[in-house]
Amino acid sequence: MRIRQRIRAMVLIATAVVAGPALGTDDARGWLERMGQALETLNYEGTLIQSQGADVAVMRIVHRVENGMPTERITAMDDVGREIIRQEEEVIFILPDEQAVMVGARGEKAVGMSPIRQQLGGSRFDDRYYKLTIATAGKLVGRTARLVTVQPTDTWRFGYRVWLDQETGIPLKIQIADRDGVVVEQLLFSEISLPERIPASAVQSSAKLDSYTWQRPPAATGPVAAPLANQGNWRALALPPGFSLKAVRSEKADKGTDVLEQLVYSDGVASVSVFIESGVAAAERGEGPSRMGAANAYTTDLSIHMITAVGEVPLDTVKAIARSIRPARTPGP
Amino acid sequence: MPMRTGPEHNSRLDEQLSAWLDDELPEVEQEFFVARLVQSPEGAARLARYGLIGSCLRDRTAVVAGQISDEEAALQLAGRVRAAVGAPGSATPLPAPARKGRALPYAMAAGIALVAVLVAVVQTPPLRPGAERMQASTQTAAPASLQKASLSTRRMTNYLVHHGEYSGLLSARVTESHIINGRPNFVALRAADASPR
Repeated sequence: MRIRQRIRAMVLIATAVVAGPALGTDDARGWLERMGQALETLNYEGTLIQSQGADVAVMRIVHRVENGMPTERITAMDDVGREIIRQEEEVIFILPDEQAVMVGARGEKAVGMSPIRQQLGGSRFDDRYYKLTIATAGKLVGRTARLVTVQPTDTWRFGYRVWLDQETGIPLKIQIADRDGVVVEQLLFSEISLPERIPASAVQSSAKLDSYTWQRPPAATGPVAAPLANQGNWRALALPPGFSLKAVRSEKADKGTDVLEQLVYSDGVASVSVFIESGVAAAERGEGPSRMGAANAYTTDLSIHMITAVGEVPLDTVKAIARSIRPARTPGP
Repeated sequence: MPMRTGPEHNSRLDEQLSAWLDDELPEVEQEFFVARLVQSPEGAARLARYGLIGSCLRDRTAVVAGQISDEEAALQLAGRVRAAVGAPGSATPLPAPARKGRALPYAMAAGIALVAVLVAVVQTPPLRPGAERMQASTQTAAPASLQKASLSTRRMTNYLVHHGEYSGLLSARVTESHIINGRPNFVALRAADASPR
């Protein structure tokens, strides 16, 4: 085992222990922190059921940690069998229905963490926008659970109810609720196990990908020294309370002319991605909302650019952000 | 408790599933059956693959026969599934908070990192209440003006893949499930309902 991996394993184990129940805390925030650690540091496999309204989908998830290095495979249990394979340096989305594979590079420090978490370490949770409570919740899939409720204080964001395994902190069930408290989407384990070891083959795709079209990202340019606010060609003139810009990303299409720019705004819990795309035919552009479960999107256009805001937030939030996007050189309000 | 497998068992499961979806499963068997259904991979998969499809077809047959309306069929199906899997879509108010939270770590593993990512404090003025008032009715699109146009499945899949890397701790799995369940059935509303900038 490489020294770097050894160090990483020791750090992860130490962090998990510190974040665990030894603290004896009933604090909801502490339990959510523990959940984040558990999702990265434990071996687990199980069946996830996602439901939104009458629509039900089933997924198989295998999460393997070896020498402190997490890898993961999520497979849709339907006739299509889309998969996500998360490896040390890349994430692979296998789309058999499109005979396509989308690959994303993760970078050396990205394993197990999203870019935002890398940059922030632990984001500031603002209790002006969310209130937390915790309660006992009986048993779920045969395991004793705690229920953490994340209640928004306004209508710009959704609320959450999370049933956490008392022993490990793994989320057994998550509900996302809208402004009226109506559950718009939920994920729950129908069964889960935590084996001591999981074979490497369990996190490898069984699909034959030779004939698939591979879409790889352009080479990363790495962090830029300029302030985030000065990056990119676009900005939001106004934002819902608590949201601020967290990341800017841009990508050129293969032909080198069309550009896709992504701005990420977050309130510390929910995030909204804004995609500004040039080179989209006028017939494809338009304005209006879209929705899928807890994910809302709002598309608008500005000159030749198509602007789409996407996130697990209410429609009003993505709409407000999408319609506030302007070229960076535009004077503020 | 693990479910038994094998052709005989699966056949029995199918029979029970069909009876349950048709409201013909004896009441004394329902609770046990649903518990087994949602606690086993096989049962859950069959519910998704066979049960819903079969039920939709049966409801469709009833609609065509004039026995029930489209709306009634949809409501009946939704009701059965909600009752089984735990009530999304039903009015389940979140309880009032009891104490304050303090800090939450950010995000979990997800998607893709492509180009430059940097974090800094950005001074963008917040929207004030009333600055961008939207009616709740915009949440539900009017069927007559719906078109699958701007947000093609491929484009939305691409967006969700990129967005997934930045999803919050509590919603990352939801974003992933939208991607791999192959049904980014986002439906875009054209300019009919859009007010000018």
